[in-house]
Amino acid sequence: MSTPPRETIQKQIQQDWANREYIEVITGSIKKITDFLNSFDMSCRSRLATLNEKLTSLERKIDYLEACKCQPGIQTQELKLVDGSKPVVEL
Amino acid sequence: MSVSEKVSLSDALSNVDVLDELTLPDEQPCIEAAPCSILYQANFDTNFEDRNGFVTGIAKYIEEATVHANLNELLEEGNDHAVMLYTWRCCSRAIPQPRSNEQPDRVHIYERTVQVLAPEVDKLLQFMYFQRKAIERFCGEVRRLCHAEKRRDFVSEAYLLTLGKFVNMFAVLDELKNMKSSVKNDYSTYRRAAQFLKVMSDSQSLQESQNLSMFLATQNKIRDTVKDALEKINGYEELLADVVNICVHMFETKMYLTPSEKHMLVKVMGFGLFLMDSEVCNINRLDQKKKIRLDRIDRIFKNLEVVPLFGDMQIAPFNYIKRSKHYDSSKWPLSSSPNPPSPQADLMVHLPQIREEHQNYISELARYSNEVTTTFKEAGSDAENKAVTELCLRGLQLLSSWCSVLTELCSWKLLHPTDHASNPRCPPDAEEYERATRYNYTSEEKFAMIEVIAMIKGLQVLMARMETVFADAARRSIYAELQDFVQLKLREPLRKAIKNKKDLIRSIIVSVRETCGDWARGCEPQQDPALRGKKDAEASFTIKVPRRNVGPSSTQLYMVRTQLEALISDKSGGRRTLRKDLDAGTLTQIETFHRLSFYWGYLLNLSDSLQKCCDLSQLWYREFYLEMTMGRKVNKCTVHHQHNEECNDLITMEKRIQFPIEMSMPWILTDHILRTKEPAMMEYVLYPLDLYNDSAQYALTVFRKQFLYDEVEAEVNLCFDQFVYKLSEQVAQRINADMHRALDAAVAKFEAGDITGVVELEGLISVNRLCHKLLSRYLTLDDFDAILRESDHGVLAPYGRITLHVFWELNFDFLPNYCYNAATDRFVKCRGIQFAAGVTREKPQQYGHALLWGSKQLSLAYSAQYAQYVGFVGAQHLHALVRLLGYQGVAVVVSELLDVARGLLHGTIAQFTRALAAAMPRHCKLPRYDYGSNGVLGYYHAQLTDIVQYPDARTELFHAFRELGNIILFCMLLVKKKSRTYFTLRPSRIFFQDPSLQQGQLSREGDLLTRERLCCGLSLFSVVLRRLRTCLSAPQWPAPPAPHHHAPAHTDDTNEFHRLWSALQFLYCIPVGDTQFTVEELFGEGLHWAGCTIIALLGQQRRFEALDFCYHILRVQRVDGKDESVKGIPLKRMVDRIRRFQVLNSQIFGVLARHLAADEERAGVEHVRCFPPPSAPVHQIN
Repeated sequence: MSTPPRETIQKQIQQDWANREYIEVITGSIKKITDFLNSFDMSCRSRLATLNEKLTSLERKIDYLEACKCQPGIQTQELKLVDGSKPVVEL
Repeated sequence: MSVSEKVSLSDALSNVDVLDELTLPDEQPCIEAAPCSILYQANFDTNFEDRNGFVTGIAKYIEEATVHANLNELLEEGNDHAVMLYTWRCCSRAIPQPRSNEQPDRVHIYERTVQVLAPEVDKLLQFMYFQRKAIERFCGEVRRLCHAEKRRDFVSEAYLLTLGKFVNMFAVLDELKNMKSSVKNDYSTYRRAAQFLKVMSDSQSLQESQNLSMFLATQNKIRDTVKDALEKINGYEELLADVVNICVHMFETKMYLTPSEKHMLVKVMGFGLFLMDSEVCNINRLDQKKKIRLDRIDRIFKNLEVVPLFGDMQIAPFNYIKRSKHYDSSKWPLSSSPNPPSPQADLMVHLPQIREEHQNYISELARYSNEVTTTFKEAGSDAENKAVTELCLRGLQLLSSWCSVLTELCSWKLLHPTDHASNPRCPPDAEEYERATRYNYTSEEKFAMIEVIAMIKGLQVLMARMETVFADAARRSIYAELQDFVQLKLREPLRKAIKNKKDLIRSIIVSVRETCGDWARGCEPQQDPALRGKKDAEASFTIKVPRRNVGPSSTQLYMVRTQLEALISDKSGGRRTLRKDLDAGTLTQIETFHRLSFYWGYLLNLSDSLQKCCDLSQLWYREFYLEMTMGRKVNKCTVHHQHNEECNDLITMEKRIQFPIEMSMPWILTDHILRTKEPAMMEYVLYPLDLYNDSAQYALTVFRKQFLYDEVEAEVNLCFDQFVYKLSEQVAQRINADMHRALDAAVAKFEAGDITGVVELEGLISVNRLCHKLLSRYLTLDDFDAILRESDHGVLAPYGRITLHVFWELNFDFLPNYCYNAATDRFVKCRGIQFAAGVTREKPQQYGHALLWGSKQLSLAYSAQYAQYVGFVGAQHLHALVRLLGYQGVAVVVSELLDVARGLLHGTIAQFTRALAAAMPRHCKLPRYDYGSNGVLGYYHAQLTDIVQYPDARTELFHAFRELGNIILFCMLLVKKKSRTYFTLRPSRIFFQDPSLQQGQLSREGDLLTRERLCCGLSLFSVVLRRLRTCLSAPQWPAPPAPHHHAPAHTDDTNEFHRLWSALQFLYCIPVGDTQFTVEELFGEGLHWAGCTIIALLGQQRRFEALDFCYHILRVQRVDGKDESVKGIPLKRMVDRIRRFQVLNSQIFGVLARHLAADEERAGVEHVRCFPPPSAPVHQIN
């Protein structure tokens, strides 16, 4: 195998530098996309957690209100007191 | 965007850059290690695959690269075998063994055993072949390098280091093979089955099986084989001395990055010296010849007594020395003496320095990261890139050194377990692993470890965030340095070499330049005068060195460094060294370049280096300890006593396949924070848990073992549950529940006392409300009123506990026992005779001070304050009652009280009325004034003698009236307070609202107020009165038959109620002796209120006032002014009493008349009163 001339080899090595730079740029960009996806993930998780917290609190409120609604006693008490007149206000 | 559409590279890159501009707030505090859902790591290490591209390099080093590539593959394979051995779990214990030769299914069992174990045994076979091959290859390399021709030649640093890695590999594999008894057991199980089934029929496989069996059974087999093989090579010790020396040199100049590389160097020193010391070679003599420096190694071994061997296996490198043939303790003054203990055992001595380093580095990094984020630059200048690269490298080195300190501490602890004698907290029967971990650290050590872990993981997050910036700067900086050095700095030595005809130097320099030169024009400028050995003509020739964002490939870096090393090496195969032909300046330049470029490989592979520098995964792995304890049964002693060998109380527990989390380092540290509740450490609580991430990552990528990953995951799940459970006691989630419990306690406290406790109850509730308000700024809590109603049990039931208790107290304590006094406007508990049955309340449950007023001192202070409200019921109580009960509660209480009143009127009072009416004289006149007041009194006394002597009149009868009167009074006062409460509360609310509140809204609020007052205030009591009036009718009420319309009123008739009341008034107007209780004392003004109300409601007020017996006596006495005793009654005193009660009666009538009149006036005119209160929101106590 004959050795190719010096300049050819030098040019090949220079081409190798250029190619590797290209690969580095692509790799770096993929890395950036990865970072973005990771922080996107974190951000979504955080927002969902906040939302979840709000929903939980609302659910508890609904439970409470439902429990209040199921209770008949109060309106009739008010009724009895005001001498048979119809209650106008909803509790 | 469709797939076919073409996107240019620059567009694609700018698309990626745009991603940076999207803001992604995550609002997560920086308290945990890098959360990472996607991990991306590119590895450009080619393992010399591209070596043939650099044909212009010196052939010798290209050949060497080939050798390197092969050796690296062997090392990798060796590591796989080490992992295989380390993660080996015993299979044979799970395989059923045939109990006897007659067992019918034994053939089947053996067949399955062979089937199951065959692939495992094959791994062992491969391992045996590998070690043979590796030893052969290693010795071959040594033999080649030690050949007489090559002996004096230069061996590169990389080569020596690779040989060192081999030495290390042999040491590791040998120790692993010695330790793993389960491997041997599994193999013998297999062998038994295979021999039974005659699987191995040919002699060759039988021989192999025998060999494997011997190989596994022989301790230190690999070590001894290596040693034996090496000793046959002439001069091997000098090569090994070079290996050891390069390790010492690299260790001392910190030419390593990761902790495992550091530890590898130490292990090579130990094992290398062990291999050198033999019949033919004495290391002490080598030391004398300055071939090696034992004093330096001694110091290193003292500083690092224990290093991790593999996973949780530790090794003391000095033990190799002790086992060697010519061990002489005098040569090892530091390592051979146990005192002082190695600094690696004490984390506290390192902590201040670590803290300072961390502080300094973090602030520097923060300054730089601010610069980066505020100023956008395409690429920094060379100097900037260099500074950033240095910053990055320093960060990596710091992380690595902190990690080393931690792992070295853990290693030392694992090799030095505690016991009951040295640590009393450690029980005598503690397990081996427990003694090495759980009981082996003091509280300060644990805190220090947590702090160091937090620093490592925290800095890792910061550096990982800047990774792209760092990597970019590193690539640019390395490229610039390399090209400047190759294209510019090497020109001078090249020129000299050509001029002085130093062909070897010239060829090396040319080779370096051609291997990695990236020339601006594609190739070396031929017109460069340096190439002809000539000086640069003035300003005629310049070289423009390009800039790129890429570093050299791994092969290029190796070639450049190794060839330059050849230039500066002081060894060169018998010839004079090349150093002599280079001038001092050039030598320094080359040496500096060589030293700095050592770290380039790490920087170019930044993300991997960063991860390896922060890897604490081995703190979790415990395969070695599992192996040790699994063979044995776990014994536990059930009795507390001084434990000894003959103990009969030992029970055998189940064999474990894993240790409980209490012995696991990550959980020990996490739990320590939760247990001590040290506030400063609380923010670090998530960092120790991150060790599980490291371990799981290691299981996935290095060990590649599913079961290890599963075990880590299972432990994390368990720990996390525990963590959440323990943490929840301290933070938000429990606040709601605590709030509940506090309110519950407040209500329960009220329930355990009488009605006067209502003031304290209100105080407690308002304290809780304030607490809730303050907490709500930071936490999402349930609505306070909702919590209160829930604690009050008022959500599902119509009335809450407070309302029920108020009513209960009113009914059983307040009404029967309290006396009203208009002067003080208070009800006071009757001090005399109790007519009602004693009240028994439930015993109060004991609540902690935290749930009530906060602390013991506060509880004392508040109970002193609230003690002032005990013993009476006054305005404060009624206010509190109204505020607590609200509209509904007041309505409920009032209506319930009305029911009680009806019961009284129709029951006891009606009965007594009937009975007394029968006892009344049929007629009772108003005697004429002529009889004189004494005569009148005597007359009435005679007429009413039955009543006066009626036994129950003064007790039961008055008591019943008092109850009724109390009801009326209570209702009236309550209603009065209620209207006032609303009236005073509402305006404040309006005024404190937004000043921009519209006028219309204000007036509407005002209107609301008025209506409210009318509805709830004034009319409510009228309603009470009206309801009472309806009760006063036949048949339940003993009303006399209606008189004929035109019949004149018979003033002497006594069948109307007012006549009866006159009789009773006569009775209670009779003065009592000093020792007796007066009516006022016993019953208060409730009595009079009851009587007057009934009279007023029956419309008999005028008749009562005109015809009353006592009033008549009073009138007559006013005229004659007599004072004498009539039948034992002092007339004057009696008249005084009459006068007093007359005033009281007329006051009462006045009040009643006002309410009744208001009621009648509005009746039919206004319908406002018919409505319940307007839809005002439930009031709040501010």
